[in-house]
Amino acid sequence: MHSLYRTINEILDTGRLGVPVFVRCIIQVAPGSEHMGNVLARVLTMASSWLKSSPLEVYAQSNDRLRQITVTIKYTDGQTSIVSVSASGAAHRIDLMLLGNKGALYHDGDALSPGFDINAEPIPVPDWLLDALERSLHAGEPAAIEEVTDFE
Amino acid sequence: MSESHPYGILLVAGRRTHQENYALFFASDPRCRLIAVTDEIDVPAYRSTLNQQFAAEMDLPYIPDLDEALAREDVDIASVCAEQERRGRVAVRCAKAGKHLYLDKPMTCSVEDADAVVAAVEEAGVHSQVFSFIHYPWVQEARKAVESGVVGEIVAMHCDVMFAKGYTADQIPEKPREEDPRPKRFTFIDSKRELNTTGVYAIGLIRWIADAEVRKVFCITSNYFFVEHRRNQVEDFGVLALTLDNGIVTTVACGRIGWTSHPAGGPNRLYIFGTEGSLMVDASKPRVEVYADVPPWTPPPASALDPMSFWRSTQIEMGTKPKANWITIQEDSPSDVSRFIDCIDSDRESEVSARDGAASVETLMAGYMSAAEGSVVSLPIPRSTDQT
Repeated sequence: MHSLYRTINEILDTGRLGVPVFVRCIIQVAPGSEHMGNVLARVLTMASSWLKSSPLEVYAQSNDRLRQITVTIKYTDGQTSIVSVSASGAAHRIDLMLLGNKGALYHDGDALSPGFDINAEPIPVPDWLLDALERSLHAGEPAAIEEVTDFE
Repeated sequence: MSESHPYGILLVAGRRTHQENYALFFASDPRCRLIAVTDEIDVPAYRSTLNQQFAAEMDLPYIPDLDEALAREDVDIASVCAEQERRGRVAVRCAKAGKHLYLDKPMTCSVEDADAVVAAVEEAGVHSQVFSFIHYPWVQEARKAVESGVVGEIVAMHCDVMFAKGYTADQIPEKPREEDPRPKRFTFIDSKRELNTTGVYAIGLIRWIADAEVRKVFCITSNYFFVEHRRNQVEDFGVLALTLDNGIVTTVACGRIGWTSHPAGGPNRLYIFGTEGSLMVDASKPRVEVYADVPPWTPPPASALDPMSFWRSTQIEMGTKPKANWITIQEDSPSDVSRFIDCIDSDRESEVSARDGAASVETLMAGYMSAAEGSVVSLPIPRSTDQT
């Protein structure tokens, strides 16, 4: 997908970190950005790929005073992730932590490019994600995901 | 402080508790004088032995009966480091004896015990403070920035509090963790419930920085790293998704993640997103990074009596060397203990009083309920009527 995605895949392939178990990704986009949903979809897709598991449950939180969404996810094999995208930064920024059971990696990106190109051609936000986010935000509870078939 | 003598400090519980740290802070404050080490009269033999060892190391008397120690008129403050499971009842006895309370964190491990401590403190009119991160320079920096208005109104936050300690297992469990909605046991020789142990720091600093209460809790607990935690059926990792007053969205990642997972003590970071901007503070920044032609840092041998290296005494015994690649730049600042003495001196309430400690306990206990039920839990949570 992007160089950051490939780089992390290569690190995980070495086995140094053991089994990936947790991803935390904080993304800031410029206030005028129109790509928040797209960015969230990209990161969630990458996280699922790194964790080699499918989302089981999504808990979404947002606040009307800022274009911001935070998603906490439980995966089928017990992994977890927290992904937050907010339109609060003067510049694009990505801060990523991935924990394996034997180690960790950290990426503290001052800018999204070239690690994660926010201006790349938008990918369709998967239906399962849109549906789960809407259900969770509406109910204020985690939303179960029955089956995810459109990863990668 | 009395004009004629410093505050007398009674140390409740000793070796292999955080008293190993707190006692040194009290000893280094000229307004304080250590009086004795004590504990409940019926503590197990191993705890009594550890307490007596600590008293001997500190050149203090050991008074085996807490009530006898609390009856002393030269005791003004009790530093309470009894194990979490009995901390509440010990704190209540100390408060009822009219002693100010310096409390290890988390203050208790049930909301009922936390309520009892708050009631005893307020009825006795004593000062109280629970140890927290709020006086650490990086947290102070965040608070100052928020107060300056640079981020506007806080809308969202994220906090990482993880400790890079312990030897990780080769395998992860085959099944995801199933949580107990009302856990009773939190501490073992070789492990602790890490949502409780490390998450309490994050909750405390979030409440303090946002000046807001937690209203809703969603939580997932996990066993990712350690055999010891699995064996004792306690979590080594947790995530919290909180909703605070004014709809402030907050997430926390906390736990113990292994000796070699971080170049310093572990990821300790806070992100704040506001209506006017955002900021990130990191316990490891500002820093100097050092790389040299010397052997790399290696973890200490595991101690059979403290394999996670929880305690200062174990770290010394096992020859634990500090990691040397990241050297954090920090100005000297008063300790948490000294800030508490400031509060007593000026007769003002601590910024992390027993009431604040109780709020953190309630959030954590709601977290266990949420993790067990897979749902969002609203605060306040129900109190049990069959618990003392």
